[in-house]
Amino acid sequence: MTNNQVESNQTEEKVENPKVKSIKDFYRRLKKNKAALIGFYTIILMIVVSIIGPYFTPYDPTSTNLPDRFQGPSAEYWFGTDHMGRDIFSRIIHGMSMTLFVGFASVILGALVGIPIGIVSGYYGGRVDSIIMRFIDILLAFPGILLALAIVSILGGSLINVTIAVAIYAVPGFARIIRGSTLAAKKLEYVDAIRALGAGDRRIIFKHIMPNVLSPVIVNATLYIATAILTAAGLSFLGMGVQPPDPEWGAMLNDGRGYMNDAVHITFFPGLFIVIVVLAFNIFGDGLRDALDPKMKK
Amino acid sequence: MTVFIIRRLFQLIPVLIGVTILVFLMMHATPGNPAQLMAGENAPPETVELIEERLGLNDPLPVQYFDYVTGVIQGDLGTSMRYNTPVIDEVAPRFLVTIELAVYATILSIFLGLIAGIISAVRQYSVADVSIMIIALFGLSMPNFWLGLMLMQYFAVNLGWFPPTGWGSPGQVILPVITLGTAGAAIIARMTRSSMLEVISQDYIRTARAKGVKERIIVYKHALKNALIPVVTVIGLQFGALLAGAVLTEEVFAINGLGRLLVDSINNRDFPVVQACILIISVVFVVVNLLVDISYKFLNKRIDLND
Amino acid sequence: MSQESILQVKGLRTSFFVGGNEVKAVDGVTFDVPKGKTLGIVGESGSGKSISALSILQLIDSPGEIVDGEIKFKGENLLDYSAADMRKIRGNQISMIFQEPMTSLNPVYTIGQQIREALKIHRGLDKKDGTEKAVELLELVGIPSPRQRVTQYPFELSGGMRQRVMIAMALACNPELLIADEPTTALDVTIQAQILELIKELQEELDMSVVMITHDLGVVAETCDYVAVMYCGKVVEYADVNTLFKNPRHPYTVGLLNSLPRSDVDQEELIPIKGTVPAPHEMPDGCRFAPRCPFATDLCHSELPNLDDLGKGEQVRCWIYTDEWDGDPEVKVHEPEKRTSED
Repeated sequence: MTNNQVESNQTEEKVENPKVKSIKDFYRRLKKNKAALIGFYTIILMIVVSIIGPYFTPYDPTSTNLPDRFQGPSAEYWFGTDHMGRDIFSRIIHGMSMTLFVGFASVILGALVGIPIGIVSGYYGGRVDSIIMRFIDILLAFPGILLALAIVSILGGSLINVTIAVAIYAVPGFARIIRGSTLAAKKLEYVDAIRALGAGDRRIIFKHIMPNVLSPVIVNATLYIATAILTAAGLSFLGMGVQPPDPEWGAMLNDGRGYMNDAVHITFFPGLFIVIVVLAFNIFGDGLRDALDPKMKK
Repeated sequence: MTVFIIRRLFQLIPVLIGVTILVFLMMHATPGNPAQLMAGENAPPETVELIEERLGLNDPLPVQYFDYVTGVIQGDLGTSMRYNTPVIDEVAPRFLVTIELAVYATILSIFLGLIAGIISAVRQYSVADVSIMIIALFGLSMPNFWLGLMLMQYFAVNLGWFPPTGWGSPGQVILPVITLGTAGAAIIARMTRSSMLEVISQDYIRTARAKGVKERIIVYKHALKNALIPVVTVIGLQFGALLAGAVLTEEVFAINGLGRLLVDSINNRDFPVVQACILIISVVFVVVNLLVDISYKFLNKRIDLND
Repeated sequence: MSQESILQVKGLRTSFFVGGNEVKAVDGVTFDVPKGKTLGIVGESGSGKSISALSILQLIDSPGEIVDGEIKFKGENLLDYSAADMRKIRGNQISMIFQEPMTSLNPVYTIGQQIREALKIHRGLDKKDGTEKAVELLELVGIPSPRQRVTQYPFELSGGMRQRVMIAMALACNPELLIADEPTTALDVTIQAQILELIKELQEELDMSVVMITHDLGVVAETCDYVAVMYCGKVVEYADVNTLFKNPRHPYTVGLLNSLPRSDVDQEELIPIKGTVPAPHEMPDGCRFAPRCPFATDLCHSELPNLDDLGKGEQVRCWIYTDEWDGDPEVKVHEPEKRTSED
């Protein structure tokens, strides 16, 4: 450590407690990161669109209009029409809620299962920990989309099944991260002090461990939403997720594949929207990580 | 080092047992009677019973599992319900294609990712850095099947530079490898950048400067070797993600690899093949991670090898 | 200065540019290092002593920058050197050792590789000759079984041993000037004395000049011939070590001495300096020390004094020793407070 004021100020910032003290405090930190703020507003906008958008779309997302099939983008059909003459813009707006639902629901589900597992594993340690972690290792042995694919192949393709599959896929990741943070929080001296004062396990876990693992949970949940959306879209693209004629973006992409030579826009626009949504969550997640915990770089 | 490798090999065993149990149970969790599926919907009950008997489906689960694992160890992955051929014959040639695809894509992502990450870190906040990080963010956020379709449409169909589908000739390799490798390159670039930046601010880098070492050598000799340590782990995980991602890439480019076989088999409810594909991909992934772990220890001298 | 100086620093200013603000970490620092002698630079955290040291070798990282001044090494201004010429100086004619031996060695290379590197760069030694020389150097700094050590990695050595390795590395090319930036701060007390002793011995043996950066006046008393006391980026007093301890001039130096337990004089109690070092963005207009100085007058608060020569190589930056002094004339001849002097 060099004894210089500038550097010592920087270190102070680094050791600043990464706990989220309040929504306001969190927003203040987030505001410093312009990109993250854009991601945040994009996500809010998308949520709003997914809720009220379907009432304002120019066409019904599933009604076919064969005379107008394969229309390119125009004033009438903003993103053109598909092989059944359905308006792609309307379908994308209607599909938004599905994409966001899979993203949020699977991650919330995965976190609800993964967090307790991680906390129990990290807090109690010993045999419980090693059994849980072996099991997590086994789940992690199925890389990427493979586990979700296997689950969907058993359950069959539907929005709910895809959500469950992606949630199960998220569980081991959450459990691992939370276990790590719990171990770190457990080592904090004040936890020993509280225990010495006679606090029980439950009190320590809920009052003292939980707030410390909250930051990594929020950051990873945000980044997981991005992965979850990509995975779900991939499953639908393979024909194993949401089934046509539902306007799920991955399924739409799959629909358009056969007509790429004549009508690239059928595949282009759904894919573009997947990119935008995933990008928003990734940017926001990156920003959150910087805002909540500058040390947590991985 | 040898002790460490042997120890890690032993640690592999419970994971492999767990993976085989899960894959085995998966088949049993699927709705429908496999014997009925094999015999056909209208087959007489006697035929179905005969098949059940032959497949050992009436044995208790542990016995069935034991038979399954013994078979797997001997290279017997069962019989394809659809083609009525040994699964191993279906799977083996496809497996080589997928491995080839995944290895090329890994090489591409390491190559691009490392170079981009190093440039970004060395020229932090420069135009190059900002551009690389924006491109990486896009690379990370793009569904690879969409990227593949767009590349195919533009470079193969519109420009006619490459054949749009298939696998084997150099021209056929390029687009799928780019499709599959992009996300990995993005992740490795981001990881390399943050790891390099962390290393560059370390005390020992200042020591090297104080010795009169050239900046270029500081970056490539003193910083990079340290920065690579966390990146190696990411590369291992990426290889697994690429194996799984190959499912989508193969689908897009109609490559007859393991992933496409897996998808086809799921659609045809050919469960022995599904089982075999999933098993092979996870085992390869687990083994690659073991290799990565070993090289990690090799790179990271600070860690006690017996640990 | 009557003696020949190996290093003359004049009006050195090093600033950090953070968020559009300039933080003056080193603000017009001037000192001399007489050849073959040891200059101590003393100050609290944030006084700019380490930044001054790093500035000599131009090891300041962005967002830091040397803004102004002169660093004359054997008569030549190092600030005029190209980056390539500067590299030829580093680790060759001027070497540096750092505070944190635990993190200052590269964890992925062996001790031998790291020592050899400087020898290869500056002396063109190949691996074989380099290893021989490395073994010799490790022996010189008192590392047992050096031939085994060259193949070991830093994590296999204790902190004291690592600092010895750092010294061996620094001495590899027989530097004329060694800059030691708090070399013992991170070490155990018993090891501290050994390392200081080692540096002192090697200095005599190799006829080096040394700049010793420290916050510890005990280290100064043990190792230094001359002392520059720094406060808030400026040198406030410069004198030879005997004069400084016997007859400190600047109230800050007096304060430092009063807060130090001493065996050579009777002390009723240790007197800490009141207040804290001002943060860089709230630097006072006048004398930097005025807010904490027991003698400060309006003049001190409003105007910054110069570093004035008092003769006999003594320099002090304080209004008390000028003709403009408007406070109590008695303090001019003051000695450390509460000090019952016997010498």
